[in-house]
Amino acid sequence: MNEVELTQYLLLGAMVFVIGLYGALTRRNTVIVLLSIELMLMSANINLLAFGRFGSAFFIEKADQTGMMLSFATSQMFALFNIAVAAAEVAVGLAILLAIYRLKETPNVDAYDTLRR
Amino acid sequence: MEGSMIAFFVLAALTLGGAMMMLSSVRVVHMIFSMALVFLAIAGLYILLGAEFVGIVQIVVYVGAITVLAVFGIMLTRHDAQETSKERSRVSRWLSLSTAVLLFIVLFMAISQTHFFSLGDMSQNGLPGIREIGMLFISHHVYTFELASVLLLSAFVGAIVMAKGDADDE
Repeated sequence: MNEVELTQYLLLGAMVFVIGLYGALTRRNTVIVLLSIELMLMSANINLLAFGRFGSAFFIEKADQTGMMLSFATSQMFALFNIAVAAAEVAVGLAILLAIYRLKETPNVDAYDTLRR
Repeated sequence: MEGSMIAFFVLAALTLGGAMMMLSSVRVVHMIFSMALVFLAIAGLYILLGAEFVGIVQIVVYVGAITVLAVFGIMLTRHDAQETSKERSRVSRWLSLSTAVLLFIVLFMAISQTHFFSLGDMSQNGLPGIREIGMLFISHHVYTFELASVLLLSAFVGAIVMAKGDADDE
């Protein structure tokens, strides 16, 4: 095994996802929680690209070169859309943080419990 | 062959180490900069996978824009270091740690027990470049492309409206 394989990328994606999940559950600062969610989205991106590169067994069997290229290009496109959605999410999330900060005077997520009262 | 393996392990160590640094550091700004290290290492992983364009977009969007946005979010809100170092309650921290570890165990078993086709990768036949991705953007997936641009536009307009607040506030 001297070649990087699909399983290693998938395991790395799982580790990144788990670290992001732990950060999102334990951190108190809203900005850090948002960045941890970014980490989880990025692990999805790693998986998409790894499957696009190594996973198109159908086209490899048929030796269809344009099909292979098309499938990897499609996975890259998925990752690009994912990045666009993540950028929109961070922009809106930070705007919401600024709006709530004006009301609550603290950036900590456990202070944002107005709906529970 | 051997070089890509070494590069993979270096980049994976940088990713996980940066993420661990993010979890263990006390100050919020240090967390953001270790996060920038994670973003850079993952961009390197994309380039190693053969997706250069996605890696460059990752650097531009994440390291260039999202890190700066996060620093702005920190600077515009008041934060004291000792407030951020204090965790949530001990019970909830152990609960979230066990949730994360359990999820990782489940994912690890699922990944290691699945038999993927070991057909080798497809790099010997040439990888798609920016040209193929651009052709896909304007041919097969043009509606998705337009939808993404509408999403970005409405998200940024909404962000401006929400961050601006009421005009008679001040």
